Amino acid sequence: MKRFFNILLFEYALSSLKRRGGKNIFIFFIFFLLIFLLSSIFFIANSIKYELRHTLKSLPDITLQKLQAGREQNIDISRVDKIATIEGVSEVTPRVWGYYYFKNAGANFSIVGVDRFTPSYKKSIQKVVDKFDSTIFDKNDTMVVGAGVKKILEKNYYSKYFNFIKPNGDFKRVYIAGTFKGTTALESNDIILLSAQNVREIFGLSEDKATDITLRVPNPKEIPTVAKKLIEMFPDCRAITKSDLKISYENIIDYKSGIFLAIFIIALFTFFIIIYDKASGLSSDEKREIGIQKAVGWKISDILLQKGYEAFIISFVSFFSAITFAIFYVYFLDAPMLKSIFTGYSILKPPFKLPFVLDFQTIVLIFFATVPLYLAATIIPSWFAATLEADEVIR
Amino acid sequence: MIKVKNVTKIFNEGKPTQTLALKDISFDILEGESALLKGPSGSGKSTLLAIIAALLKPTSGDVDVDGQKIAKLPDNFASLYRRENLGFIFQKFNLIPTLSVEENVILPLIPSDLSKEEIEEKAKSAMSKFSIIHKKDDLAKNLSGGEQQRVAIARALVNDPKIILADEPTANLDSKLSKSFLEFVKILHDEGKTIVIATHDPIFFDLDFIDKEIEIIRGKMQ
Amino acid sequence: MNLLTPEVLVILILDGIFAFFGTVAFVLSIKIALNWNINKTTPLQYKLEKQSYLVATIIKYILFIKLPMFLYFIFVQDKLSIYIPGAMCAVGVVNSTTYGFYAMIVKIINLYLFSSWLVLNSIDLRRKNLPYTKIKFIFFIIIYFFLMSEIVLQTLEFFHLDPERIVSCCGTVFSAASSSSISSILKLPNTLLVSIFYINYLLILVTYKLKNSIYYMFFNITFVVTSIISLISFFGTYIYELPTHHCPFCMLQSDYHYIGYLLYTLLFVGSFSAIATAIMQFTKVNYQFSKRVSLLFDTIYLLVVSAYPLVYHYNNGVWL
Repeated sequence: MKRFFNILLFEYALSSLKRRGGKNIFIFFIFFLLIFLLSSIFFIANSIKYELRHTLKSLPDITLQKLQAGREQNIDISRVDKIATIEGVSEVTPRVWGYYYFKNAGANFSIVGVDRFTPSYKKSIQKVVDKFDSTIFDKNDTMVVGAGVKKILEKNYYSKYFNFIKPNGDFKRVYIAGTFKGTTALESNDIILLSAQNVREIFGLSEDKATDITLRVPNPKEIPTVAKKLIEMFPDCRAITKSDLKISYENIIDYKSGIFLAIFIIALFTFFIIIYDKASGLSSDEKREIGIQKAVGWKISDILLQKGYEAFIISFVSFFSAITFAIFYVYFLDAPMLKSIFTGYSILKPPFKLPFVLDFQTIVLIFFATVPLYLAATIIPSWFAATLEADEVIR
Repeated sequence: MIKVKNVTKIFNEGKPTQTLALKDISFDILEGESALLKGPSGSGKSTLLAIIAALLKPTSGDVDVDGQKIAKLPDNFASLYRRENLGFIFQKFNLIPTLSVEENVILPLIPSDLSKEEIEEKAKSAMSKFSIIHKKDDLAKNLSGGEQQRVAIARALVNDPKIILADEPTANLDSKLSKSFLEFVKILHDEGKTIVIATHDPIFFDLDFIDKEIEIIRGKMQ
Repeated sequence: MNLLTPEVLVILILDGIFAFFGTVAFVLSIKIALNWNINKTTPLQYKLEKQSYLVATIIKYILFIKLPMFLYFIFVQDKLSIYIPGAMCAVGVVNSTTYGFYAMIVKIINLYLFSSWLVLNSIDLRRKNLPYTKIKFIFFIIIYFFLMSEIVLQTLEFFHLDPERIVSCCGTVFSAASSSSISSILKLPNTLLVSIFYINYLLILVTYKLKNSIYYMFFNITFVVTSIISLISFFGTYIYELPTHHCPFCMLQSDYHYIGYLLYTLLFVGSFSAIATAIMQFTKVNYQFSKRVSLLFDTIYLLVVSAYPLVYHYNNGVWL
């Protein structure tokens, strides 16, 4: 009676692994670690790309910035009229915003000026503005803060207001009128919204200047042409398009993933050698066991099948548990230590949580990158074990 | 049943460590006979037994078992021959210490085509026959010498072999266990099995149920 | 080299493993093919016997990984279509370099070759005198060259993918308007192509009854070709419900319930079983089961693929 799948042989392979616990746990652990690191990095990169895509969606099509000596300078508001004459431009909005460094917390807040009458380029910010009583942004001493900011302020004992330090050293007290949560964590955490007037006061920005000018160009194909025209119009400026931003951010992520991948390949080779070495080193007990198996009637192909099952069990169990652990580590524990490879230490001091982006494709990729390699490393050692001369070992 | 024809075995042929282990050995053992391969240690009897078991290939000569030429079989057929026809009893029992009694006994049958139930049946009957079934889940390393002996024999019989080969079966046993082994051999002989024992233990000499004694000294038949 | 995405990298690494182990198997195969003599009892002969197990294990490993890799490979080609302007599915990518199409063909041939080797190997091990050992290792020596060609073509394809160059997508490659060699076949009227397909199936039924299964195998191989051509030109359009959509890849996507995977698997198993049947008959092994499997899979393919236009007609009252 021919059986398609020999369950007893499979069980024997399983028991064989258990009985050589020490060696197999070591191999399992190395493989586990490898897959864990690889998948964690991939998951983090995927999450951040997702975040970025969402953040980028709401960025202006073109941002015009004035540069002097390679540094960003405030730009004349009078340029707005000239820009509006360019064909393809549907909206021109000067922006007033900046970074405010809160020394005690070591954090940077993004201060964004909001004008009741000029809708913000960013739909999400506009939505927040609409949610609150518009008088907040008229008054001189109220603001609305993002969730991350609120947390930091409270930690530093500012719960109802905050004292900004103006360029001349004076304090400006602004009351917290409300808190909001953005669509993505990257956006909302470090933003403070208040009237453009207030922002000008905090940063010492004069009435005729803006931080930069944003343009809306509804037809994405026209963006490069408009950008060119802008540079011709204002040679002292640079025009950053949305795709420039997207590409530069994604390049950074890919670059960092690329470095990691390169290191990983080296790790793979080392891993291959370790597995090969471990699998080849048969103890005298192991050799004796194989000799006994052969003496009682096991074929070479039976032993090869047993070794094949052993390799399967280790690699598959390792793979699935490492992936599960990586999911837990990245999405529940928020990937301590590894996350900072991508996000850097200083800029986004207010914390953000990695969104849950689980990609089946990524898991398949990791599978093909690791399991076949492990199986390959066991081919020669398994064969070597299966073809031992039985009679020598049983004397 | 077993026809050994002009078997010669040279180890490490062509190398400086070349040794002649067996020279031109020929004999017949009929079905149901019990035979002794006598000789001092190192005389080549274990080598001869290994050749009969198709674990070693002779340098020249042939071995017919039940009409089948087995000396030069490729590995998969040699293994099948062992699994279907032979029961092997080793020196030092050679049980797998970290496996249980039952797991040790079913070892020869695991790669076969038999169903799990059939295999467990056969194991049960072999273990009962040698009164070891009450310890079937105990690990082999925790058994006494006598119990291990019985497990070794049960394993050798689980596949209903026609031929039993034993290599120095009493070498590491005290006299009590040696005597009980003799009892087992007699039982097997009475069941009609063909038995070949390689030994230099005088306990086996001149027994009435031993049909043949073949003496090998320094690889040559006497 | 801008397209060295992780997916491409993984495929290249695995190709590297195949190349390495394939070469080991190749060297051993030469040794065995030259020196094998079952009647000899020398230590060399015993060593060769052991080494033949290593070659068999390597080939099993390669095939075992190759089968899912093939599916993954198609998926990766599909994914790369985002980076190549003009390509909307795997077809565009494969066609964007001169190597792509040939790499694909050799890949498919290798699946058949490796599987055939394993069939021959298992038959060889059933006989005490291992009669086909020399033949099977000479066979592998030939297979090795196909394997290396595939890897070289594959690597060249990946390194020549150019995100700056615009390529045609499946719409143009397979349309009657373009001038590629494939479309010259597709220019033939559908009734002709479909009739050839059904006639081929009838020939399979007829040759099934014949004693010599070599004819059966032959018509199965042609069946693969006529199936794919009729699939692209006619049946595919009913899967997509669009008379101008002639693409062998898009049916692998979720929009069409991944039906492509089923169809191609049926074709592969059906045709391969026929080849196995011929091998088994040649080596005087019982081939009935294999022959039946082959007919079954061919028939199911025919039924599934014919169902699409029939169901469409039933639902809509007209043909496309």
